[in-house]
Amino acid sequence: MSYFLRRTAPLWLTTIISVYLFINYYFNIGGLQIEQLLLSFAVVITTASLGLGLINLSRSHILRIQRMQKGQWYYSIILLVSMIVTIVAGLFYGADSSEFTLLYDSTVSPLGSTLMSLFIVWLAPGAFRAVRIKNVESTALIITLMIILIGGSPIGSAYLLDSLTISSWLNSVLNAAAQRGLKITIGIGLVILGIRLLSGLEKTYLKGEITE
Amino acid sequence: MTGILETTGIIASIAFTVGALTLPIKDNVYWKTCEHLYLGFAAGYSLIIAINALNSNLIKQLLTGNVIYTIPLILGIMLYSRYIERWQWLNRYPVAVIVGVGTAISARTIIDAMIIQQIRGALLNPLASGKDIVGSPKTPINNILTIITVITVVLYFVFWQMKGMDNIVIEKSRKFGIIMLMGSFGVLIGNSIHMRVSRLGDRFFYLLSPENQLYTLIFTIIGVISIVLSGRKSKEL
Amino acid sequence: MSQRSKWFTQEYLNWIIIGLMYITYILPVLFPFSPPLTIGEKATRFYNIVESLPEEPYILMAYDYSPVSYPLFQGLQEAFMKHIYSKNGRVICVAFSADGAMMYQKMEITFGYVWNTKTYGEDYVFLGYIPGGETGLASFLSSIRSVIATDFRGNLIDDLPIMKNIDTCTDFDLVIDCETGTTLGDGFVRQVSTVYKTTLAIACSGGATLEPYYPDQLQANLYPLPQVGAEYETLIKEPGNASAQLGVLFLGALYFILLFIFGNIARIFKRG
Repeated sequence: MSYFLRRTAPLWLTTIISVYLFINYYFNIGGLQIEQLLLSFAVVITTASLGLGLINLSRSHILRIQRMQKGQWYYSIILLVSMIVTIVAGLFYGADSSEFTLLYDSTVSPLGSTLMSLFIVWLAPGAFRAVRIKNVESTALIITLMIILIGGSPIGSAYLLDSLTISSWLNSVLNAAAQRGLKITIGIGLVILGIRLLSGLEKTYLKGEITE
Repeated sequence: MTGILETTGIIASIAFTVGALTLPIKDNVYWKTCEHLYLGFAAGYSLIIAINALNSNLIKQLLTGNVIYTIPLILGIMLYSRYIERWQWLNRYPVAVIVGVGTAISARTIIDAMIIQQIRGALLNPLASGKDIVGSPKTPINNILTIITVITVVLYFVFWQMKGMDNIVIEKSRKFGIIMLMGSFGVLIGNSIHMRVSRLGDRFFYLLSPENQLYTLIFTIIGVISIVLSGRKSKEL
Repeated sequence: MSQRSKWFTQEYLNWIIIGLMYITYILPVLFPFSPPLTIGEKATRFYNIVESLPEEPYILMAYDYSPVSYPLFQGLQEAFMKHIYSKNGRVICVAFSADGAMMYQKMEITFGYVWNTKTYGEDYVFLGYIPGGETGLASFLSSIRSVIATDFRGNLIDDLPIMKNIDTCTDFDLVIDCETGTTLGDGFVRQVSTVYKTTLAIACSGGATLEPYYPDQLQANLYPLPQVGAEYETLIKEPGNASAQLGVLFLGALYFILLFIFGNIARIFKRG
């Protein structure tokens, strides 16, 4: 019984829910309300799971402070203080308030924007050093890359109108065809993964050892 | 009061932007402080947004009389059983619901959207010609190239574990397929560069706008001092 | 190794490359210029789709991008708002990513002048963040009221006039998704187009990967950003933020083209 509750029942739950949703979609057995309920339950559970990341982050940084980890513990204090300030501000003013929006715009927004946009700073030396014509494949990559850089930017739009035609051809014929092949392959792979999950062959999403 | 808050906000955002821009030059105290502040603020923000969403999709549903929403409430609480060793197995039930629903939702439409429709789109009449509504005009060359590209790209992945097998047709097809794929990746990278250029450009627009230039200068000086104080050894990029 | 070739392996080269790149970004800020623009097919197609919408259309607009992508979308979204309000459109906004909620707030503050003749709850509404990715999207499109009871500000959905006849995806005339990457792009095609056959437009930074769906399952695929945003602004005859970025885009693309060319030339010299 214990083994059934711990191991087998969750697998059966996944299978039953998935099979029901499949059958309802393809055969329209009139279970729309149950389907909508299942979907909304999944949304609620996902919302509840958003707190898990916060707990894990807090635990690891509290540990660092307790151990006075060299070179780290004071940064952990900064992290926890900023987290608490944001939570208090959000709970006090509300997520839709102008004060909370201002807090987000002054902190998360500029930092996140700048961090993500820094990728191009590392891309530049890589573009000079690593992107080289060595074989047919890399030649194909570089040629299409250059045409798109010209045609997809104001350079082609303003001065090299032929590049617009060529880059449009690259997008709508070559890229579309190659991506189509990719989508078919990925689609087949995802369907196989879905069948494995439905049949209980794929168990990695349930944490812990499953021996059967 | 609002004016003071807004000015403080502008100064803070400039300080954080300059701090993040010092990262490619060298790891320094200014950057590390900004990094940990970002993590803290982002974590707090995500919790507040989650509470707001939970209020809308659970609490208010319960308050308006939909008692059936006690089921996801209980399942959501069961998620946190992972922190109690004895009850960790309870965590599997909400995960099973999420995985079951997620699998079905995507898999049932993948068959149509990603397989059938894509095969249909690839099965073109090689001799058809005329004005297409999108991109390039429909010509026999474009149609034949599309059909061959789709087939060879699929062949590349289907037979990728059989490299070196003694079949010249499959070998040549795979070779053509990977060339077309690399061309496609060139298109993706080119488009990606456009967007990344714009993203960093916006940061510079913000820092160098006339009303922000003084603060930018002050924090740039702080950044330079921080980098110099962090030592002379340069970081290999 | 010769003295000259040592330069190419030393870190000084990195500083030169990065320094030149920073100058490339600073120049168009200090000396703004706008290169001429040719309207492409993607912007034209999107413009025609919006023009062909019935009078007083209902639009679902999804904010699924992070702050880093805000400059890519601000011009396009501002232009779209102006265009759709000229047709007395009703815009229902939602976010399927956590950052999207704040991006909507930012848009509302930044482009307040577009909204100031419109009433919240009657002409536009923001329903908040729906977690769950594609599951949240599917649930939302199946029945809005089964997922959420209130909007982002806490108002009950049934009290909002704009939501009176809106509950499923089929009630919308157009669905627009603005997102970073393509996390949800395929999901939107699958859930909106395959299940409900509603007109769909996606603006995302990975638009090239959605090209196979275009135009049968995805009626408008808006990329590359912000170029297509600038073209759309030109079509509605109101240049804005996207058009202002063309100078940076011009020099940035030129810089990378030269990097690729000189990198390959330098390799030839290094070998010699």
